[in-house]
Amino acid sequence: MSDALPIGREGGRGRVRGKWPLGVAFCLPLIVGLLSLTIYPVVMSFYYSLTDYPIFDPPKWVGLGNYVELSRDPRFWLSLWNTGCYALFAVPLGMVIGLLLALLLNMKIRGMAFYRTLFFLPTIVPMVASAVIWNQILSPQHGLLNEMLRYVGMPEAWVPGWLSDENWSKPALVLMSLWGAGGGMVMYLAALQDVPQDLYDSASLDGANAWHRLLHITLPMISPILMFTFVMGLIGAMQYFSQAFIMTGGGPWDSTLFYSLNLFNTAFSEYRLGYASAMAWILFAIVLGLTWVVMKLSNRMVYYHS
Amino acid sequence: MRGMRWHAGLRHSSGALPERYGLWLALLAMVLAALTSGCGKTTASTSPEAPARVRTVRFWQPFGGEHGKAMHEIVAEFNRTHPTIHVEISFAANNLSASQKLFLAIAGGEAPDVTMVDGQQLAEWAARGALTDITSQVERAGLTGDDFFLPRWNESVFRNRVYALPWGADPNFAFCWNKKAFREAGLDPERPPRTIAELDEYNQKLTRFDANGRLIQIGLLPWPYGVDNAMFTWGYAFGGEFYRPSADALSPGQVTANDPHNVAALRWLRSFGQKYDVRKLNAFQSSFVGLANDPFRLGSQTMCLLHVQQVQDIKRYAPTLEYGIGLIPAPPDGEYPNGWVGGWSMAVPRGALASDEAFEFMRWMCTSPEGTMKLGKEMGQFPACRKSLYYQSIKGNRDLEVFYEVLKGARHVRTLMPAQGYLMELLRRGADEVLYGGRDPQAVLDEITIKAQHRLEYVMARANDRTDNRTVETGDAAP
Repeated sequence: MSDALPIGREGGRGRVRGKWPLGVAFCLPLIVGLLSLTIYPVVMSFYYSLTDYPIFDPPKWVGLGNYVELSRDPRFWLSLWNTGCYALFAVPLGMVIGLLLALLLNMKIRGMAFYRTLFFLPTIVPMVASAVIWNQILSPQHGLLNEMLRYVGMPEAWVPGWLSDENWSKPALVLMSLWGAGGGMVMYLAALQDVPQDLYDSASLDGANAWHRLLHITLPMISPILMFTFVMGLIGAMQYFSQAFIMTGGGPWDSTLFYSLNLFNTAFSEYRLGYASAMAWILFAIVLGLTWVVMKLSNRMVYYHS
Repeated sequence: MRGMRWHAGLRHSSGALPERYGLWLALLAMVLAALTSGCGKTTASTSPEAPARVRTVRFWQPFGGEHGKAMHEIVAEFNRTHPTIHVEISFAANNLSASQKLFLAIAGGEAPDVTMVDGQQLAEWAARGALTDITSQVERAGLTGDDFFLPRWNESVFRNRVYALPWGADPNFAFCWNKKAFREAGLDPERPPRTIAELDEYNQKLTRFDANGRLIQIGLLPWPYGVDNAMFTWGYAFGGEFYRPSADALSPGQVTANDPHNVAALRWLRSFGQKYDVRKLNAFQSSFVGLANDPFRLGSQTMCLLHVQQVQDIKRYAPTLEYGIGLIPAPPDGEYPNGWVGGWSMAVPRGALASDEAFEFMRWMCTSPEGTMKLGKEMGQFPACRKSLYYQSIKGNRDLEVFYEVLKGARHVRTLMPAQGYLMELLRRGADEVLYGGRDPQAVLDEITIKAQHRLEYVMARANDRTDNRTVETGDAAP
């Protein structure tokens, strides 16, 4: 039996080469899953994007027709605009709040574990539950937020209508998204604890104050995490769906008709799977493009200490 | 080295096959078994103990909460009284515009045996080929349109073929008012507004703001179920129509959303939104969430469009509320009494066998004395079956008798055309443009008419293609 043979360099490689089916076999559950549940749907959705596919009838080839129609579809542009506005505010604000929380929670004071848990908690509240809670908080008539604004003396005419007012609905959703800043916070916290103390010590010796240390040590040292959360946040914001679906249904006056919500409605309310697939591919291209730009720009801004 | 031994052992067990192929095949088999075990439809199950063969009917329905519980009880009653049929009930969301679980199941060839379908969806689902024609079974069972309230029966037929049995019949709506609030505002509590002009006047008297300008009491909220729904309610009250079918029911017909009466209705809604500020009204409405927290029952809203199911809610949550119940006001050139009929039906999705068991379940639910009585008593809804004993049981109940009158008098349903879902969506968007954006109702409804007509013709053309193909395949004549 080959068991007894010493494993030499050549022998080892030969054995590996002979046993590749075993390796493949072990990976088979993953491979089959990936092929049937990811690759196949992705390929098919691209094919469907070139067809007129009303769900119950077989798809009919229309070439680039869906893409051409999309370029002229005002609702497509509207939903893209809404999503862009949301991402523009929700992503950077979420990062700033998350970072501020992390900096505060990185201090050495009593009961820190409790505070960290407290700020992380909203992140694990199920999306639907938090949407229902926020519906109540944002209620213009008797909601917690507006009652607080009234309490501090805001005149009734200035109190925002939040989800009932097309000018306030997107800010309301951005505000709500900040409640989940605890997700980024834990990552910043982990990164902050990796920043070597001696850098701070030597900077202090050189006369750097807290602001200088934050700007010239902390931020560069955690820049890979900042960059990661930015890209992930951007991808998440471009696919923003559940809260709008549950809380506003796209209203009032289509002010919260986000891209994914528009895509979903196109597919399942209008029975246009082909058109919706084309929308999905455009979203993919946009996200890919944005990520690429961010990566390119960040080359010079991110410091990888390794 | 342990891995080696295990490896060697496997080689022995794989016998004549070379090691790698044996292992490969075994794992492949396992993966395939795991992947396919969830698939495959079991429509019939036999139990060794049971003497008779028990057939399973898979039934999807969209109700949750209290109504879902009632539905489970109704189905349990059916199962109790039908030892050879077992109905397996599952939830499938249907928010009237989308029902993606069902759509994907049908497209994937895994449809349930019976599904609920809202009346307004039927033409579209039938035209798009999502449903099975059950005309022959309906005929064999001796059921005709005469068994049902006519508008609901019409909502079950597409191109002269039957695709569903009507289950419920919602008389939309009754007009309800708070007598105490009427007295406080100096109005006669026994005399509800009869015309739109009167309604406007009453609204003025019943709307109150606090010292800071916050809305604290309103008269009527004209769009309690969304502006699209309100467009139908007020469009019909103003005397409008949204669709004119073709004479032969086979060609597309004509969308008439820009009917002058509908334009007048939308103008009135706009004036309402301008007078009380649509944003404030919606803020007011959105502050009441949940079944127990209803502005009319709490007295903050003093007139409302009441749905029949809400009669029991008033009894449960506001037993001391002093209210009157009557008909929706209409302008002098409108329709009075008015109202339209909605409701759920039961259908067989495409790909499911329209088995006798499935049809028996539908028939029991929609026409049997037990099934229709349960619908009325457990769910608080009216049965679509005109002859149901339920209607004798409500004699003497003043509230339900008003609804019964609305139901008997109502001529309308939402449009019987296969672009109704799209029309609703367009009306929702269009009404928002008018209410929020101040656009001209005439221009908006003109646009909607063109778009909906275009979609209608597309869907009908597709339906024609499908009928032609089937005729070629089977040699049948088109129905």
